[in-house]
Amino acid sequence: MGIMQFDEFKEKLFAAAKKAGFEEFEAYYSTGESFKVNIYEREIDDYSVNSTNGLGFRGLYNGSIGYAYTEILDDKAIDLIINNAKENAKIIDSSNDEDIERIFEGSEKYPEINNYNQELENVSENDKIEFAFEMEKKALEKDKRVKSVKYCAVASFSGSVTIVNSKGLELHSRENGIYSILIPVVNENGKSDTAVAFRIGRDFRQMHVEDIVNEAVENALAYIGASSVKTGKYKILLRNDAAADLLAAFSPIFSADRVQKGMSLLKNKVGKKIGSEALTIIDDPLMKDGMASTPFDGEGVACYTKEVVKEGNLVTLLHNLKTARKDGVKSTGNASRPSYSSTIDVSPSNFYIKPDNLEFNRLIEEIGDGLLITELQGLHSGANSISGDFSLAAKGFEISNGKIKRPVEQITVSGNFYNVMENVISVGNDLKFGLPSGYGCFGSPSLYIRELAVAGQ
Amino acid sequence: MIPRDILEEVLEKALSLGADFAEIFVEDRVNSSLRMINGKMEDVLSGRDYGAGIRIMKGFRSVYAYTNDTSRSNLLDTAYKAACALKYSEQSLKVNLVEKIAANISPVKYFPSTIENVKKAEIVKTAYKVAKEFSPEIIQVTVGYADVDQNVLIANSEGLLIQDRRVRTRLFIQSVAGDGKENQTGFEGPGASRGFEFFDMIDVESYAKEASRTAVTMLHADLCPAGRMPVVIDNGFGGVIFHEACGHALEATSVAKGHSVFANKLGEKIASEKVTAIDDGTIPNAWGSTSIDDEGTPTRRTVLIENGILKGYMVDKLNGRRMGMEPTGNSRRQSYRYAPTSRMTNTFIAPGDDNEEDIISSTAEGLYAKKMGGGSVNPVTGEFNFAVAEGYLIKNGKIDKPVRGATLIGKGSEVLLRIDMVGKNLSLGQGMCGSISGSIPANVGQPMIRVSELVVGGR
Repeated sequence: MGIMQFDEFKEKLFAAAKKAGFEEFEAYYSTGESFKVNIYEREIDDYSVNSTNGLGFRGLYNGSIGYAYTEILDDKAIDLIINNAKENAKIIDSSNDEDIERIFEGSEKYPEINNYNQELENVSENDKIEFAFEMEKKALEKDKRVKSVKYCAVASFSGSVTIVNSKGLELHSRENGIYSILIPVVNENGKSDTAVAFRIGRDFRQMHVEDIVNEAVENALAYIGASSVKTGKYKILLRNDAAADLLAAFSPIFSADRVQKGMSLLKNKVGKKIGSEALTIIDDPLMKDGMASTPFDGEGVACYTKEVVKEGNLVTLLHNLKTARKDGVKSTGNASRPSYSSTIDVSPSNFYIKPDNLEFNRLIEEIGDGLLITELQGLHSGANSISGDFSLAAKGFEISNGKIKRPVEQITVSGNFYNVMENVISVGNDLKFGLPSGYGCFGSPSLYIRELAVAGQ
Repeated sequence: MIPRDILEEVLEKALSLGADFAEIFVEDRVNSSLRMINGKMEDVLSGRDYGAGIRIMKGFRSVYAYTNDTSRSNLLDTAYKAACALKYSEQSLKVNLVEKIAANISPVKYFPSTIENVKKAEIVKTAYKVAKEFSPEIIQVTVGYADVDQNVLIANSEGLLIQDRRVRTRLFIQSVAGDGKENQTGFEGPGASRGFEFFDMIDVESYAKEASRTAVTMLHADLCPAGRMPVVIDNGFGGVIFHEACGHALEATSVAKGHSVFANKLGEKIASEKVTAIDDGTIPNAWGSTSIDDEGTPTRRTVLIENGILKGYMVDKLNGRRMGMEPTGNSRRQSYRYAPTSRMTNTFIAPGDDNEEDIISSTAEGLYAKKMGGGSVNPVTGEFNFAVAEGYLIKNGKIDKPVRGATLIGKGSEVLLRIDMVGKNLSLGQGMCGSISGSIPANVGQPMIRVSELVVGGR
C-alpha cells in the first residue's frame, strides 16, 4: 500500500467516486515548498525547509455536495474520502435548487498570468541567509538605540494548484515568491518600541537590505517618547499600511454570501452610494506582480479585474457560482479556496483603494490639526465585520499646524467602517499592499478621514 | 505510526553532521466539522492531516523540516537536509529508543469516529433552533461543530519514544441581532478535551440562548463612552486579560531573548498582592490540557505569579537552553507544520477573597465587562488590547445600562499592578491562541476582578 503520485491517485479516486454514485466530482490538488531562515544575534536562530501536498475532493451525491480531504495519497485515503464525502453530503441541506453547489464545466477562456519567476528558484539558500544576516547587522549599526532585533527573517515559497473534474475541466497554475521581515527593538530610557517592515515579491534582486532596515528602524525610532492624547474626536490621517489593514478586516462586507445571509449591511445597495466620491475600490486578480493574482478562482471560473466601488457607488458584490445564481448574476470569479482542506467561500484577490495624486505631506498639511494613525492593533477582535463597528488600539503621531508634532501611543480609535467609507475626504498617492493571506491581498493609499473617536487620557 | 528502527535511523541521520539534539514529531489527525447557517447545513468537511516534522539543535540554533511523505527514504532525506543546514563535523551516534507510556489525563468515552454525522447534526440543529427562536430580532445564527482526533508520536535522540492521543470537541454559536440599520453579535464557544460525551455534560440550549441574549442586549446598547475608568471584568473568558496582558510575556519564546517586559524579574513584584496566576496543563479533560506536550514532556501545574511575585515562566527545550531552565511541559504546536515553542495551556488568575457583589458596589463609576472578545499583545512593549463583547456602565455601585463597542487597552506591567480586587468565582473559558507555533486550543480564566484604571476605547 504505497504512496501514489497525483495522476494515479486521481484516476483511482474518480473511478471509485463514479462507482459510489457521485454524479459530478472534482479534485483540488495543491503542492507547496517553502524555506525560511531567521537570524538572532548573528546566528541562524531558526531554519526550516518544507514540502507538503494535499487533495480536496468534492462531489455531488443525491443532490448535495460532500467534501473530504487528505494529505496522504494512499489506497486507504481513497476509501476514507469517498465514505466521508458521501456521509457529509447526506446531511447537507439542498432542498432549494439555488442552494446546490455545482461542479463547474469551465470558462470560455482564461487570462495569462505569470506568477512564477524561474530566476527565483536559482537564488541559493546562502544568498537568502546572507540577506537576513545583513538585515540584522545593518539594523544594529543604524542607530545606537537599536538594542536588538526581535524578528529578522527571509522566506521563499513555491507551489501549484490543479483542479480536475468530471466535466472535463483541467486547470493548473503555479506561483513562487520571496519575502523578508524585520522587527527591530529600540530602547531609550528603559522604554522599548518596535516597528515592522517587510518586502515581498518575485524578484530577489529588487529587495534591498538598506530599504527595509531604514524603514523599520526609522519607524521604530519615531515612536520614542510617545504618550497618549486627550480623549475626543479627531481628524484622522490613516497611513497606507494601517488603511490597508482596516480594509482587510472589513472586506467580508463585499461578499455576496455575507450579504445574502444578512451578515453585511450592503443588502440592496448595488448601484447605490455607499461612500464618498473620493473612494474607489478595485479587485484586480490580474495585477502584474500582485501577490494574490490568479487566472482562475477556487471553482475554476476565469478571473477578471473590476471596480467594486466606483466614486462612492457600489458597482458589484463579490460572487462565486452559488451566490451569483441566487442573485441572478454572473460569478465575478471570487470563489475562494485557501486550501484543499477548506470549502468554497467568497473572497477578493488583490483588493485595493484606488490612489489619487496627493503626496503624503500634502495630506498632513490639508489636515492641519489631527492624528496620523500608523498602526492598528487587535483587528481580529476589535473590528466586527457584521456590525461594521471597530474600536482598535492604535499608535501614531499628533499633527499640529500641518506638521507632525509628536508620537502618540496608548490610544484607541473607534468608529464604524460604513461611516468611514462615507467620510473619506482625500486619498493619497502612496498605494501600498500588505502581506497576502489565503483570503486576499489588501492595499490602500493613505486616507484622510473626517473624524474618528479617540480614547486616551 | 512509524517503526522504531526507522525512527532510530532517521534520528541518527539527523545527528550525523554534528547536531546535539534531534527530534521527530509524527502526526496523524482526523478533523470533522459541520456548520449551519441560515437554517441550512452548509459546510460539512472531514479530512486527514498527516505528516512529520524533524527538528535538530546545536546550542541555541535550531532547524526544522516537515513533510507529508513519511516513507523511510524521504524521512532520511529530510533529516539529512536539516542536518546540512546545521553542518559542523561528521559524527556517528547511536540512538536507542525506549517507548514510554504517557499517563492519559483526559479519558474519552465516545471517540468522534464512532459518532455518525446525523448525531452531530442534531446537536447543531438544536443549538440553531434555540438561538434563532430566542427573539424576532435575531436575524442570523451560525452554529459550528468541530472535533479533532489527533495522534502524535514523539521520538528524540535522548531515547524518548512516546505517543499521545488528543480528542477535542467544540461547539460554536454566533447570533446576529439586527434592526435593518445595525447588526450586533453574541458568541458562545464551549469546548473540552472530550469526545461526544461532552454533549451529555453541557446544556447546549443554555449556550444558544446566551449567545442570542448578548446579541439582542448589544443591539439595544448605547455606544460606550471613551476615557480612563475603573473596569470590572467578569469570570471565565474575562481571563483573556491575563492571557494577553501578561501570559504571552511569560512564555520563554519572549523571555529567553530578553524581549519580554518580564524578563529577568523572577522573585520581583510584578503584580498587585491580590494576584496569583497559574498555568496548568494537567486539568483532566480541560480544553487546553494534554498529557504530554509536543516535545514529549509531561504537562504540569506551574505557578507563574504568587501574591504579586513573579515565580516562574513557561519554558520549552530550545528556549530553556538559552535561559538555563528545565522545560515545563508547555511546548506546543498547531501541527507537524510548526516547530514547537513555549505556549500557554490552561492559564488563569486564582480565586481571591473579595465578594463579587462588593466589587460592583464599591465601584462608584466605571465599566463592567460581562463578556470579553479576543485580544492581542506586543510582548516587547507589553501593549495589549481586547474587545468587550458585552459591557455595562457602573453607576453609584450598581450595574446600569448596556454599552457596545468598547475596547480595553493598556500595558501589561501597569495593569497587573492595578488589579485591586479579586473575586472567588473562578471559571475557565475556551479560546484558540495564535502565535509563532500556530493556532492552539487554550483555556483562559479568572474570577471577577477589578482594575482600578484602564483606557476604555469607545465613541
